[in-house]
Amino acid sequence: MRLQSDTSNKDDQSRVRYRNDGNLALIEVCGLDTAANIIEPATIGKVSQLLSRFDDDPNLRVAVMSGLDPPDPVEENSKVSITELPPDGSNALDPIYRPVKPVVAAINGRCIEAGLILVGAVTDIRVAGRSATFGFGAELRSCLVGAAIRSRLNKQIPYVTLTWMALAGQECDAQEALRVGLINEIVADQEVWPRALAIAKQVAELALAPRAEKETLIGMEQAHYDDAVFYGSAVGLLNKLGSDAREGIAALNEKRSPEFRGR
Amino acid sequence: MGARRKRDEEGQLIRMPIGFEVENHIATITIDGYNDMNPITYDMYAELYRRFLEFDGDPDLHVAILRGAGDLHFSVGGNMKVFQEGAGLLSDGDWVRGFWHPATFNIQGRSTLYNHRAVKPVIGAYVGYCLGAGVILSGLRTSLRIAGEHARFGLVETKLGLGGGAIAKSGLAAQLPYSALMWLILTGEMIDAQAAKRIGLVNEVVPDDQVFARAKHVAEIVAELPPLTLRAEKEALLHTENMQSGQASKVALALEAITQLGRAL
Repeated sequence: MRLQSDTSNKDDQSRVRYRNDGNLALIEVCGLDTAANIIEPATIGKVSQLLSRFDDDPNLRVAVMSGLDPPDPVEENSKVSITELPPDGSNALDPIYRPVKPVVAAINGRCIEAGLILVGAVTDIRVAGRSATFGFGAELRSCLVGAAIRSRLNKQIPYVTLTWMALAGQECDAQEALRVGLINEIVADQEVWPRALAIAKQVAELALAPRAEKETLIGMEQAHYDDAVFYGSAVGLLNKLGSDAREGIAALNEKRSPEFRGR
Repeated sequence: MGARRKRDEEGQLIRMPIGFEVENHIATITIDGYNDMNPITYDMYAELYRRFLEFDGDPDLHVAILRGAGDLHFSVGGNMKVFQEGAGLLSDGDWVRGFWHPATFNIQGRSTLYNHRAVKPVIGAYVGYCLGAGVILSGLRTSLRIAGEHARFGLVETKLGLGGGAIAKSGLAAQLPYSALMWLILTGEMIDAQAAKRIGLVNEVVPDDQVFARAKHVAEIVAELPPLTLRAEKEALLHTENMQSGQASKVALALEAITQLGRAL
């Protein structure tokens, strides 16, 4: 996450800001300790709650998660609603909610400890700045034990990269993160937020189909291959019979851009 | 390697939906669509399934190459049109009938088209487009992949409002980094050969005109290796996917013992 925030100070509670912009949910998190740039573990619980709220809102299609205070072009948009969540008693070890809708991460600065757990556990597409670094921290705090598993990175990146971060306490730079598939893209630091927002809008335009794929992937994770394929084929057929698929195929045939309505 | 397409006296393409040629323990399985883009129809899925069974069932065949017909494209994926009766989009009824087609799922609910993952090594050779069902087939059926420098890969179904089972069918969740796979399916964007190599979707990128020669060379290397040993490795991998590590070890040890015994006989 973007943890180097100029505006927060040590008296601040660990904060999460949640806003809607059209069909996007924007989630910004900020660390308690600016010197070490570390997100409070309790923040994971808050973000979990917000992602659950995002999933439940039929008007929202994609979420973007970043550190607090990104250079935000939608800030002046009058339609943006801002929600500051009060601190709550959520437990840092509660299961992390996995949204079925797509989530894009905008990563600047150090992304460590709870920040990396969140990035791995809840985000699907990840854009990082050139100066971003990734790790679980040199001295894992007791509440973060199991970070390698909770982050789900054990299923996402090569084993030796995971142990490099989780057991040796080392950090990876952005290039290494790109090489091992932890992130999708590296851009200039100031371009991270605009690029993440652009990707989120692009995915949001596709409406239901990305969500259908993610739903099958998450829902059938424990299933045997055949069973996952049977379910996935059924979901795929339902999707095909919807009006979005009809529009998509018609647009392809007429050589124009489709306009999906999410049905 | 020249174009493999056959034409009749009037220059019309003669279709052999799925080509199957054998040379020195190597089978070449060719997706031959209705045009240079090699779109895949339901009938072709069924034929492909039969060809792979034939390959796996013949002890004389050690390795297969999977490619598109012609030198232009691997495959743009599942077809959207009815080719046999003139141009026209597939209807909702066609989609539903496709789901219930006996070649899609058999009576036990096992998917015949999708679930057959060859137990022998298969090398994918990619030029041009490899999209949608082309990627799904590749994830499922190929074990080594050689791409031309201008090859493009994409799970473009979401861009058409389609999708829901593409990742599940492809088996790519176990092959690619999570965020790379999600990029493909959530954006529907195509990636180039270099990006495909970076995320581990292909092994090698070579000049376009060397793809088939390189795939053949790799096939020859693999064909020289003890076929039952390779098969044991691949069977162990496929059979232990959903097992706990203790169970998986038992399977692996049993297969290893059988391989050792076989060598001594």
